Amino acid sequence: MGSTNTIKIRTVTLVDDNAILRVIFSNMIKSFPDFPLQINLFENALDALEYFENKKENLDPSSEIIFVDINMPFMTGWEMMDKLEEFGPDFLNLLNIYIISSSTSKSDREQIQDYPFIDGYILKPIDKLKLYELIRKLNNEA
Amino acid sequence: MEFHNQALDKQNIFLETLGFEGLVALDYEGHILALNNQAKSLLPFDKIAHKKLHEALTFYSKEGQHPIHPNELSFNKTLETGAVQRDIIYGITTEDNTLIWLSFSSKLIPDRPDIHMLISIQDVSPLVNENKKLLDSKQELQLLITSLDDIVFEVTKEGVFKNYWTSEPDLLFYEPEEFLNKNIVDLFPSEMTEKTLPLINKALTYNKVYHMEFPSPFDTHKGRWFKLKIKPIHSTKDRVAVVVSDISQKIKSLEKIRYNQHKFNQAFHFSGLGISLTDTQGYCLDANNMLSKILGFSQEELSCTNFFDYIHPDDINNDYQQRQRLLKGEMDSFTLEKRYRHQLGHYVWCSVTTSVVHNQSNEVSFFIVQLQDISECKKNLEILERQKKEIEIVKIDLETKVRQLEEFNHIVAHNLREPVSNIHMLIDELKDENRKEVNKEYFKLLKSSNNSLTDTLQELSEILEISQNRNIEKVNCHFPTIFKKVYDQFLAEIYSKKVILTTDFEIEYLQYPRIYLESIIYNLLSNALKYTVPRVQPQIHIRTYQQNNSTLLSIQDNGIGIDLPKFKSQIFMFRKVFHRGFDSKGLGLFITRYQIESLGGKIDVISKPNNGTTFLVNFLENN
Repeated sequence: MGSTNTIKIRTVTLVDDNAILRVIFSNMIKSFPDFPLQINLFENALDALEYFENKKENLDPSSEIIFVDINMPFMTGWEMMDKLEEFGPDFLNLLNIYIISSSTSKSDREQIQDYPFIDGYILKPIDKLKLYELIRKLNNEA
Repeated sequence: MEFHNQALDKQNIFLETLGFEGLVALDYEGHILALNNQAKSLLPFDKIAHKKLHEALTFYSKEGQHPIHPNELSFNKTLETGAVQRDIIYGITTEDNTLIWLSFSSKLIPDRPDIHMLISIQDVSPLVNENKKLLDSKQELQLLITSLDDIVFEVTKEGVFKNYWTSEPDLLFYEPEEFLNKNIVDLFPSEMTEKTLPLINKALTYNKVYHMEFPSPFDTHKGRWFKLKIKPIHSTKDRVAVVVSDISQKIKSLEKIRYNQHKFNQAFHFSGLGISLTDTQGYCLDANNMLSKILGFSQEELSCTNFFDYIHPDDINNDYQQRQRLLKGEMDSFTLEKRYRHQLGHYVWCSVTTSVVHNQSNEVSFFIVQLQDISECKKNLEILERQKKEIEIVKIDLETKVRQLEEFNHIVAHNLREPVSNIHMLIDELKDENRKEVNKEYFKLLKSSNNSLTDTLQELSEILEISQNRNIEKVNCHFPTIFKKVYDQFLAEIYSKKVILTTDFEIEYLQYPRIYLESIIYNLLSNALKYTVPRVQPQIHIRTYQQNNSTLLSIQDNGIGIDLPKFKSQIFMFRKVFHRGFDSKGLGLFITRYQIESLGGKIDVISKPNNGTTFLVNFLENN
């Protein structure tokens, strides 16, 4: 689908303490048919933050998609968003950030409005085809 | 001189015949020709010899005592016009400078060649002086009358007005000419004269003073009140002095006093408040019916009552002190709530206002004490207070319930839906997956997800059981015994970590579900043993004590502590884990909190990172 002249999206990162989800999600990304994608998996937000902290200088944020769970030990997804804000708006606006959660509660959904740099809220379970659609859409945006 | 004397001597015989009056003979120009002895004694002879009489002396007028021009003198007029002048009085000064009054009569003597005119002189000083004195006293009297507000009439025995004195003629009902010499009967209405005339007669008969008061009988002085004072005039025997005074002002003030008295009486007797007048010692001087009703004592019983004997002992001191302030004049009144002992023995709550009444010399005469029965109010207030407390408890309970519901919502949203969504995704993947290896792995994951779901459901039902189990049986728990049991379960860990564990059970017993208390101590001790600082000897102190009628349990450690500003809101939440590297499910504190709260207690935490943690359980068992 779409033009393959320019492949923008290179890396997908998942931050979720749910080990089973990490396995399925990782398999989904690996099976993405259009172009190869690198997958980073983190079981908690602290490790993920540390990764971005180190890579920040030689990283093209527009080539990254990050999926973050809300309910995690040590640090919730929202607390990670608070930390991410320290990266500055230039970096965050280019970065593609999605919240993934099993919570259908309104209060959880509405909380993304506190973080203008978050691109969306995805309800679990994650549908493989919809995930692929999203990646294609982001890749075609220029 | 000689000649004149002789001439006078010759006429002496003639002159003497006129009696004791002084006689002076003048020629046609007015020169004195002769005087008799009487005249000599009256006039300064040395000054007037050979002179014209009217020019020789200064004559003064009777009215005003000013000098009269010689031409104006009466005898000079006779000299000039020949007219007879009779009894004209002039004053002259004598040698010793006193003024004497002389009466001059003068006439021409045409039938005698040697004398032209004759003047007879009489000393009238006593008369004139008497007269002057009378005039003076009349004037004084007039002055006196003008200074009075009253009208004085002279009235005959029959009631005829003969005379009047007043400073303000406006006060008279009639013009003077209309009432003088008229009878009171003809002037005033009979209802007034019927009383007045007998009084006049009585005053004369008994020689006494009589009074009467009457309202104005005429429209011109409508609304005014007068007082008559009828007094016999001693010198007359048949006349009285009637003094009329306007007493409207006095009547008005009397009326006002009467009105005020009436007002107070009405207010006192028909008040909705119990009112008593009490002396400074607290004895009842007077009391109204409402007071009898409130306190249950009859008027007779109240009349010999000292209220201090019936004031509640707890209220007496305050009341006494306030009364002292009234007595000292520091205030005029005070209001306080106090209890009186009812005749039947129970106490009645009253709102009592006490005010002070002073006499003319500003000493305290008595107190006015007003009571309002507020027992019903007090009772309702107590009910309200109790209901408020109950509502407060219900509110706390509801707040806890709401918070718990929110937590359940959170648990369902995350902890329950998470494995469900895993299962959902795994089934989806398995549908399209043909690779055997992957299929095998996904089945393993499916099983694991299922287990996780079952575990969570199990935990949830445990928690629900706690929050439903309000009426779980409470037994007399012995803290040291329960602690010993828990301690034994951690024995291995305590030994391996070389923990210094101290206890101080100031409170040994608590009415509580034994399983809960065990679980609470187990979870808190487990926490304290788990989050220790490496290479630091762990110290744990467990203590029970009393505070505000409630039992408290504290477990203090010197472990790694918690960043409270950051985590306090989550510390007792379901499956919250704050520390990495420890085997923790984040369930213990949540369950502990649930157990404590389900029985009305509270749990709190005091901690700083690297500074140890103290968990404080307030059982609030008496609330």
